[in-house]
Amino acid sequence: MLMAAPMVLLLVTFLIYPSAQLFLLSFQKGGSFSLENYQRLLGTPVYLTVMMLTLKISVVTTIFAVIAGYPVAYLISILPKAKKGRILFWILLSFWTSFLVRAFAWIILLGRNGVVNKLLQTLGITDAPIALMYNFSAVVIGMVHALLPLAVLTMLSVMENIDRNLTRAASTLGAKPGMAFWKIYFPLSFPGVTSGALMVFVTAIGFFIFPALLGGRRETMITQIIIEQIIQTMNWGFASAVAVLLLAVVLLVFVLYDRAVGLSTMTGESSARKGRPGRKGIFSRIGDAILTGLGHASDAIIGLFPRRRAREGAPRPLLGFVIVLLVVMTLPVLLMIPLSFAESGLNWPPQGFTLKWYQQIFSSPIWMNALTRSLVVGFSTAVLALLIGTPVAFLMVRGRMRGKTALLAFTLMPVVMPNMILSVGLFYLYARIGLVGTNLGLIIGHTVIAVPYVVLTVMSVLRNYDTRLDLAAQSLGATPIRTLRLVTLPIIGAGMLSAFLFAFTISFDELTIALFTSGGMSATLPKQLWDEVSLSISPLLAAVSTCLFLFVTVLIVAVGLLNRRQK
Amino acid sequence: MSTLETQGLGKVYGDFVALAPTDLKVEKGEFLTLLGPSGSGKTTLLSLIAGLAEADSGRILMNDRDVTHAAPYQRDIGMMFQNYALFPHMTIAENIAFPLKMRGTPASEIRRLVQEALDMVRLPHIADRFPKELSGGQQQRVALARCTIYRPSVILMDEPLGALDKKLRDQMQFEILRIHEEIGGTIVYVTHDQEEAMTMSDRICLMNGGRIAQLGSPADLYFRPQSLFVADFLGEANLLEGRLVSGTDGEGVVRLGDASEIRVTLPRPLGHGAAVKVMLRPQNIRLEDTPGEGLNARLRSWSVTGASTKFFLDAPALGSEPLIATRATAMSAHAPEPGRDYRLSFDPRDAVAIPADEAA
Ligand SMILES: Nc1ncnc2c1ncn2[C@@H]1O[C@H](COP(=O)(O)OP(=O)(O)OP(=O)(O)O)[C@@H](O)[C@H]1O
Ligand SMILES: [Mg+2]
Repeated sequence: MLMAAPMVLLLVTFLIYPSAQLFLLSFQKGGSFSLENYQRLLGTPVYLTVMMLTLKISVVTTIFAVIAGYPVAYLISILPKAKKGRILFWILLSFWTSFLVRAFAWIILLGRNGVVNKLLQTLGITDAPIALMYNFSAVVIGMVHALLPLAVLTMLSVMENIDRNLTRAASTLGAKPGMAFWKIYFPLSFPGVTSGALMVFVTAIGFFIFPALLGGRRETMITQIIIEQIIQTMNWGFASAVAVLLLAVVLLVFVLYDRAVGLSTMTGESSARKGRPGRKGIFSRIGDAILTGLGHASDAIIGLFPRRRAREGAPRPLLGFVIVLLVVMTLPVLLMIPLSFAESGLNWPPQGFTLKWYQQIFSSPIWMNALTRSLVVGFSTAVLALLIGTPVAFLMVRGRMRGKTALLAFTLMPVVMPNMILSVGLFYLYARIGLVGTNLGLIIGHTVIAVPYVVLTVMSVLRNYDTRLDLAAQSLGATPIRTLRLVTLPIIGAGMLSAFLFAFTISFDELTIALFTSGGMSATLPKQLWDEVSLSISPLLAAVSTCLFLFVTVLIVAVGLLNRRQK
Repeated sequence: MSTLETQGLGKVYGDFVALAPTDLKVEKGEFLTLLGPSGSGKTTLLSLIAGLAEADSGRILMNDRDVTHAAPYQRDIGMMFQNYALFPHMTIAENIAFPLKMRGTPASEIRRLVQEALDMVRLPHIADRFPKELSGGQQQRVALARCTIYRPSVILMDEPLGALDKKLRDQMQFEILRIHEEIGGTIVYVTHDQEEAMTMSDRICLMNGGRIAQLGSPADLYFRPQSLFVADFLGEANLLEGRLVSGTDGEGVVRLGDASEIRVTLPRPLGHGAAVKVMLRPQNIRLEDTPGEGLNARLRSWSVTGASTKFFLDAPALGSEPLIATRATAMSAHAPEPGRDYRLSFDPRDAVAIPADEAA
């Protein structure tokens, strides 16, 4: 139990305590108990509109991300190992490219003289640039683009555990391909769909980058109100009330999810529902009928085309769709790169070639300070998160104790809690203990959000590790400590390094906490980028974004090589 | 009439030949076992028959219909997978009903057939449970019921009992044979357990390196192996080196290393002077307590392996490998002294000459 103590301490002090503080603040006005914040929140039409719009954007984003992501995850799950890795690389690259960089890429893409407008004009669809940005669709496009990788990865974790023999068995039993998919594969992958939807929804609802950069004045989301209340009016009580409302919605969604599907499906441990002997309910019979109908319909459509002889590869249309989607996922960021070498403006096609933007960055103390700070904070966060998270992972995998599930749920709290709430809570706490604007404050905050990922990564490494090797080493006369040093660590080393890079990247890309707790001369790279993007966009920012993107690419490739060498 | 026939059926992965062009005919109602070491192409052959993999050469005929390029659902087959492959989100009844639903059987008929099938595998009361709530053996029976309920003309089984413990395995072997008899289908069965193959099969197709090494009844393979591989794979065998001196019509004489000559059986004609190995099963070697004329050997050690006792004997004439002979374990013959001499004798019908130049 001692092994989990540092993490418990960290989360209690810097997650639970600040959140509880916010909760209390939301019920105060002028130092005494009052419901005024909530009365204002629920009584002002503007805020209700914002709330409804936030829900609408999140729901629409979730639907699109899950529907587009499903075929991708499906394809990855059925491909042979080598090809799987290639597609997964592009997904991971998008997943790890920071939201800010991707939002910036969309600004350039959708701008008056951006690629899309130029393309429309070249094709003769429009004669003058049209307004593609600052509306609902732009926000949703950006957010779907941002969250698609998350949807794919969540669904994939369930699909990977579906036994491929099941659909093959179905086909030997007489099911045509469409039927085998809808009656066997789809129901088994459904927990993946729901958990993917849940993850996308709770992330989307806490977004502010996309509505702020791609939306118009109408497209305001709830987290933007929190930022506005704190940064402009310092109204802690009201900001807290909004944060509490946000948290309440997120928790409500989790509770509803648990009622409907069961949270246990999230861990991907059992894709089968619990046995309920007896007759099936009306809903499952309707569902069954629908799936049968879909099966017949798909088989009728498939029947229209000549059957391909080689049944072993992935279906061509699916492969085509996924490749197009991957291109759409990656292209916006790639198109931004040439613009960072353009002489002036962010017009497409880029004019001339210059390195002056890069020179400007590297000679600007502001950017260099921010870079140094981001590196220092990222490195420290990774070390700290690894030190705190690894023992917990050992405990979870090796330890024999009760309450493991509870501990895991506790560990995952920072994932569930919208970052905005954590950030506001930390800001309030730091303001009183003097950690605002310090690296230490940032490191602690980033560690809180990085620790769950470290625990999960190390856990998966340990799960694949054969503990008999330890026993073998000990039986050969090694002490437990030497066993750890000479046998266990070298073998799981690559996995640990991935966890380290994981944590580093999380910190390096983090904006929300930095937004509040790093001000003025103490900004991190994302914070600096955010400040400038909000003011104006320039090729210089494209250059910064390009640097960030390349940096992440290098990290992903490094992790990929590490994992390959390990196998 | 053969239910299933392959003609030159082959499969390659890259430049690796997983299955060399293979001809195989399975008769209606037959129980044929594919036996062989790991990687010998058993699963490959079975997947080709099932339509789960695409053939690179040759043809597959089922009931004289060419199904080489037919999808699995267009072939009249049932398949039992090693890990059962029961659908975890369906109840047992739904699992068993699945193939009938796919064939558009009316609901009332389905209900009746499912109950019949459950009775047949002796699990009448588990219709509403989910696969997870069954033991391994029970899941196995359900899988059996599911792939037989629609009476396919060929049932394929890929190591269906591989995951079960010894006792359950014996029980399930019996169960599969009983159901085979009851429904009278043709079964192609994969295993790498030779005992299982010998017990269950009408014929065994012994495979090695993507080819058929020998095809025949269990007795054929056991008593008349045509290659060293077959002799070695099925049961224990002593292999004595020698040269064929004379031989006609299934019988011959082999000269061993020490120039002594023994009478042997020739399963197939061989040229005079051919290098051969003579296969002698341990249980067919008689140990006479009084040494004398003929082959003599000295006891090196012995061990009781249960119903039989194994004797390891040195016979310099027969090569450096110890010769193994078995005797029924009995108190009367217990604890012989190592170093004592025996005379060996055997029936010529149990000594089989196999060409030695073939790769083992
Ligand atoms: N998809 C594949 N790609 C490449 N090689 C394959 C593939 N499937 C099988 N092989 C190779 O073909 C050979 C025959 O495999 P197969 O699965 O038929 O063997 P098996 O006799 O069933 O063995 P086991 O008893 O281990 O199940 C093996 O050497 C295997 O490595
Ligand atoms: Mg096999």
